[in-house]
Amino acid sequence: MTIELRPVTDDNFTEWRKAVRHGFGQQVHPDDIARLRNDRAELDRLVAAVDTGSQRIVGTGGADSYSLTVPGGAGVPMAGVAYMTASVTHRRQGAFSSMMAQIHDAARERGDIISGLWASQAHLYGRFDYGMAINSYDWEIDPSFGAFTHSPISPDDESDAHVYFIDADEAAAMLPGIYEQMRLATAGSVDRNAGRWRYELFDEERVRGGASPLFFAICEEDGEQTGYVAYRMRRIGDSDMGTLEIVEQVSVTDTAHATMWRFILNFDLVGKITAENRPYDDPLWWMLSDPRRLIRKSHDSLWIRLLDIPKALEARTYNADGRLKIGLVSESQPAVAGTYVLEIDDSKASVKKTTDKPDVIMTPADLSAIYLGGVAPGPLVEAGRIDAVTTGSLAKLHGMFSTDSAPWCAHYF
Amino acid sequence: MACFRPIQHRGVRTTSKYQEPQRTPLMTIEYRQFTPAEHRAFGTAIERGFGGHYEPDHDLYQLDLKMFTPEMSMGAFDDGEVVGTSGAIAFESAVPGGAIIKNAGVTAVTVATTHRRQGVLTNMMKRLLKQERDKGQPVASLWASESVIYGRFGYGMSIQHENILIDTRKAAINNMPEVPGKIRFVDSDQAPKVFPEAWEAAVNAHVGIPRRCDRSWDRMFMQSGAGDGWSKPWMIVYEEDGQALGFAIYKLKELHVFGEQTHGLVNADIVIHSNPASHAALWNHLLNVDLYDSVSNWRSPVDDSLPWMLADQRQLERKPYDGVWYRMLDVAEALSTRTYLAEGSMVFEVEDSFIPEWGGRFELTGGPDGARCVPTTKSADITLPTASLSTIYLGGAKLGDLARAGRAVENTDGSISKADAMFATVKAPWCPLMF
Repeated sequence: MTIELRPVTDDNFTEWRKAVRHGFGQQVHPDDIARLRNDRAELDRLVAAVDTGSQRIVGTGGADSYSLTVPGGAGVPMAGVAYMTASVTHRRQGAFSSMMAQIHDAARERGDIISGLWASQAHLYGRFDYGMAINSYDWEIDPSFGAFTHSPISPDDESDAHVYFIDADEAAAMLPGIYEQMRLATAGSVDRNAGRWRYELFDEERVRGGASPLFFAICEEDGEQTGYVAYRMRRIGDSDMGTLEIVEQVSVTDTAHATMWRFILNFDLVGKITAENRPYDDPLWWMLSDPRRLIRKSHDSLWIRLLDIPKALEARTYNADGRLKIGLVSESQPAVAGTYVLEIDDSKASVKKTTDKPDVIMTPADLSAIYLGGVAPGPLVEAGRIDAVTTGSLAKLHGMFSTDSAPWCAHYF
Repeated sequence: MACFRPIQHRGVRTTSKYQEPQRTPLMTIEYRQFTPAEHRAFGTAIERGFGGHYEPDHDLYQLDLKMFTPEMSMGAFDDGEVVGTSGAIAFESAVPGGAIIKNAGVTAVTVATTHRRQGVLTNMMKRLLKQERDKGQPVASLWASESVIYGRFGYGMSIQHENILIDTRKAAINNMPEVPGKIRFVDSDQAPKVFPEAWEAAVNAHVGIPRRCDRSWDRMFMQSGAGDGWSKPWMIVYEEDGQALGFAIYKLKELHVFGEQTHGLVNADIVIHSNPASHAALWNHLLNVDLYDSVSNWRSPVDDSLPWMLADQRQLERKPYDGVWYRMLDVAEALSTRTYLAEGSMVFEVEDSFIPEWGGRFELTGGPDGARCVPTTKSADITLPTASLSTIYLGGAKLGDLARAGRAVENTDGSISKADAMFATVKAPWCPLMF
């Protein structure tokens, strides 16, 4: 049995898409094949692993093209790895690893500096040098405990921030502009093109999971749209008290955040509000009069791999100036092993290789984990992953890589 | 739970900033320390405030009573009857940089149900805090029974903790620091001889762990019996060269039906570690208890390195909560004592609405080698309530996050970012002692 990697074209796209969904245990609706093809898929970034005997697709993979905002606000080209499956019938034959290698090589050739993914399972991607770079919270709160003691909107504030409902057509027109402002200002966030917005806002019965269609509301301040929420209502049995499930809530200003959450926590006939993938540093926790009522469950969100280490390190800004020699050890990528001098002046880095002894030693995966500022290096040192060789090097590493705000990737792919 | 059970008071839920409730002043309420003759009545009132679990002849009740002395107390008395209780334990704990400071561990706060909404808690707390500052304690701290209560008295959520639950069948360890020492089981005679040494090592290795007295140890060993289907407590110690650097106490509950796959829970009630090796060795032990497939711990530090030791982080469920609240009693003293990650200087306007004379304008100049904080008349870079400064004091929270919630105001551009760079610590604070 031989497995061969082949391109995905219009000829085999349907088979490929079925194989992807099959890998995740789902049958695919015919309309959704076209939807992916039209609104999201970039054919030249997809790969199929084919069993040359049966001529069937036994593995799938690929990437979407994104711009990832890094600390400091620069956008770097990122391969958003997705669609990764290997058929149960063809385990342990290297299909998965060879697809990953091809995706990474192709991404590098196109000029991607980073690749990123949402992991279906958290043990899969460390071996491909991905580091868990962003944590987020899944929230649950009973809105009867939604009173605020603190808010960025002071009582004498003249903000005219207000919320109004909009329909799905208005949402399609208004949400992208607000999201775009947020993602440009938020490390860890990625862009969404027009096709992707259609893809995200698709809301036929079969994607609702038994809940209501999407509802949308907007926050407006001084004529500017500064926040939105997309949510579904779920009724449980005959109970009057439903669950409000937040699908996405984005704010551009602190005022919009406070206004939007005041609105969300004011619903009648709602016994529970849930929101997945909230930012790790969302200020709501600090606004509630009874914060323990906000139940937060930590979850790994975006994993990244630095495809071009010097370029990636030079793309972000740093919180402290100075000089630090980072030693990278790697069995999987011998070419990137070695010591890099990170010279930070006025928050900007210049990176070059050196033969000097390193201050800290780590793997490319762990460098990727701390890269966005969402993971502090201290616990990695304690776990035996990062070796802080020289005195004070951990404090230096922490001070340089830390960021004022936690990274957040609102976009799931 | 340790020395005393947590603070209990049903707070008033408000929709905006806390407002003093309407009340009729009762002239008969008197606030003072209890006298030796009132010792028993005071103990009974505390017990009642927490639900009345123990009769006065119970060992734990007797032990608590012994720990509670008049000098550490502040009570409310109505016509001689105890209607409010509170107290503070004279703790010592580390701040960033390693200095050990005095720390008033507020505990046993109750108000009788018969005397709600008469300002008893407010009056009692004010006197208690003043009394503790007069003893030279720069900060007070507490575990809140409910998170709605203490913000109004200037306390801020300073040390968060996590409830964790691990599926050990799927939680293989694939990263470990070097472990030069060994774990051994100890019995109830040996444990009191070695645990205090490990505790002291942890006090010095972490920010926020109070030293504990002999009675606090007695209480821990006294209450750790079997019951509710739980095994007796198993106690282990981690030692390097004969020196105890960590310990754990855990109990087991079998949920096994004969003929089915065995499963059960390891409740790691307390895991104390003072270096990466002791942490790794203890957790490696807890994850490898035969016949048991999940492990829980309710007082993990928020930045515990355990997730980074696992091949599959997602097998570890993490739920953070507000652990210990801090309250500055003496801003200049508290800020002078710690060190700062980055060099810097800034002026804070500290608003203390509960005890206004403790607020004011303070200039902090600090860095990795030390700091100085003095009252000043210079203009303030940042204006913030005392609760916010208390929240960020140990490095467990960012001022930037608080500012976004309206809990701090930046008067000089960039000063909040600068404050966060200064106050940052490479390790989160931790307080595994419930008091």
